[in-house]
Amino acid sequence: MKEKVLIPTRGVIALDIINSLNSMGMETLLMYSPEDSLSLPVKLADRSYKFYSSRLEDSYLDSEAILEKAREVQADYIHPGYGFLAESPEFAKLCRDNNIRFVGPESSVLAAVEDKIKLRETAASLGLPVLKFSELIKSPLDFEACNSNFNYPIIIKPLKGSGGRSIRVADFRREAQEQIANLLKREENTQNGVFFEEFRPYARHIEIPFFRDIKDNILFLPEIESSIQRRFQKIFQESPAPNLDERLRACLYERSQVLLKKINYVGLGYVEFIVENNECLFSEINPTFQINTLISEVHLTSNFLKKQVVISRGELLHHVHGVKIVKPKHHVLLVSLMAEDPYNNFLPSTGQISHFFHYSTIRNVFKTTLYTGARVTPMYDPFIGKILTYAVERQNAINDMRIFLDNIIIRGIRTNLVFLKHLLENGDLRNGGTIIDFLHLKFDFSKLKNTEEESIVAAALLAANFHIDNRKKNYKAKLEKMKQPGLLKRLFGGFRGAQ
Amino acid sequence: MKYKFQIDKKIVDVEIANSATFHSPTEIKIDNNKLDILIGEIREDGALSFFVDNKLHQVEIVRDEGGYPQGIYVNEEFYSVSLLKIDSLFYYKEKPVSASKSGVVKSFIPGYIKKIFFSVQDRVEENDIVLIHEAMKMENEIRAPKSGVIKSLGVQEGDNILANHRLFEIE
Repeated sequence: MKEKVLIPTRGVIALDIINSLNSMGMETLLMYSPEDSLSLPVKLADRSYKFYSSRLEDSYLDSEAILEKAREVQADYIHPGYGFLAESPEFAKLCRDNNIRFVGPESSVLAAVEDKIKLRETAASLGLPVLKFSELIKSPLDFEACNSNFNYPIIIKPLKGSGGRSIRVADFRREAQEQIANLLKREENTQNGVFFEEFRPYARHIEIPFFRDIKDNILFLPEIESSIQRRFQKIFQESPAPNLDERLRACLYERSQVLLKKINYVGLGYVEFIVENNECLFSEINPTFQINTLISEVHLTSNFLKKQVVISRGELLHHVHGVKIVKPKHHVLLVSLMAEDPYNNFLPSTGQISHFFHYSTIRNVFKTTLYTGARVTPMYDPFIGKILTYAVERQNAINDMRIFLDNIIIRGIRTNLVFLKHLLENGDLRNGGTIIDFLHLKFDFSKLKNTEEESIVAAALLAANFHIDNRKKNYKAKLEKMKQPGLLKRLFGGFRGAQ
Repeated sequence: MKYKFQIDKKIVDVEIANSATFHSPTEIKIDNNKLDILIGEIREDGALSFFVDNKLHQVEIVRDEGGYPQGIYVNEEFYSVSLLKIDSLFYYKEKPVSASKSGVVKSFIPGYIKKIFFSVQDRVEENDIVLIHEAMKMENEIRAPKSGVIKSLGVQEGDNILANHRLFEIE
């Protein structure tokens, strides 16, 4: 009998899981919210089960409902994807208690990684330099007690949980007070608390992807630079990181290895560092599959979702004894396609896709849930697709990506495609000068000007369009006039009278 | 026909032959340039594509309530435009009344009401966060445009709303 895997997630990751695990010979059982009824994963999964409500707490975050379904269908695995319940130690433990394999690290590991302050303290105790952080803040009064020796700006984060949703930057003390008070108004934050760390706008954000098995074998993949972020969502990622000192690179791997051994991490994960002026500071560990896992899959030419399942069964890494560091053969770029309107302050844009096509080459991967007729709902993430390109030289990869973006047409919603095109033309980015606050300091989309030639073409198109409309209007007005009863009677009255 | 447009603060004059339909390449005069224009495709949703000097451009026009152009997307690049003159006729555009002055706050995008911090008759100061509107994982803090008393609330916590929904009114 086929092994069964329950997939309580949505979007591109759901598509990936369905495809990979189907090809492993498993039966894929998707759980989806009513809002996602028409989405692509529902069309491709072997079987799909609907949550009764679209509220997050009653759908993708409802661990009770998910486990109940898993027992009912006798699932062997649960793959939580990323986000939602993927980082929840409680959920991992519940799965284990119910004899279902949770595809991801053990719940004890998830718990160790979840508490960001404790994890940094552990790292510091091993002698790793860490990003400077504050004590836990559970009330605005705690903030008064601990902010004296920090340089502003600072970043305020919830202690637990991931994603950019509740991360705030404060430039001065009063702003920080206000932001913390606002964050603490939320239930989950009052329970777990928030903390802050220094914000380094000129530093770089570098992640080390790894697989580690139960026998302490580690497979390290080339580092990924994901400095360029908007609202703490990674927009442009590349691997290997450009202009990175070899010694620094070795140091990143060395430090990751020490830390992973200490917390006895088994599975796929990402160690995140902040790198500035030849020092690399440990920041946190991301314990799930990510958008940028696709980059590592290109480096290793293997499917990571399959590998993840194999490791979660307790098997050893294939052909890895001790530490293996994969050398990059290509320069890989990945951009995130978001349903955001760059001309309207990057607000989410929702609606139905009226027209969608793309054309790809052998070195492009475009993973998306869009199709002509698909709906982009306001319920979830604006992330709608990822686009990957690789080439031997970084410059060629950037050129290829820029050209590939021209091969995509999406109509019906506004996307950040035009923003990405301008970003890839930016000189600083092309020289490898990516930094964390790149989108404020080096590239301002709203200040980009159209060239004279372009605006002439735009004006011509506008005029032509207006002219056609005007002609149509005049024509319609003429038709209306002809339809008037008086006119008809005058023209045809005689005949009708005769009938 | 002669048209006068303002495009990104630049004023251009366009001249098009009265009979032009652009079903075959048609020359139009714009300032001192001449461009050949041909319709590529007309779609049901109003989006068009045109060939300009044999190069295809995707065009989408943003209109105001009166049907007059406000902006144009050419290959996804946006240009703000306004129509100034057709032949010798002048067009004046009225400025929309800003919502913040009246104290009525409306949602600008569809979404979900995550939390409301005040109830009716509560006093709010300018810039207080009145509610959290969530769309696509992004939380928008909707702030009070002015100080006053909340006269009415158009939403409850947990509501799914469309764009332009009345959120609250301050008096």
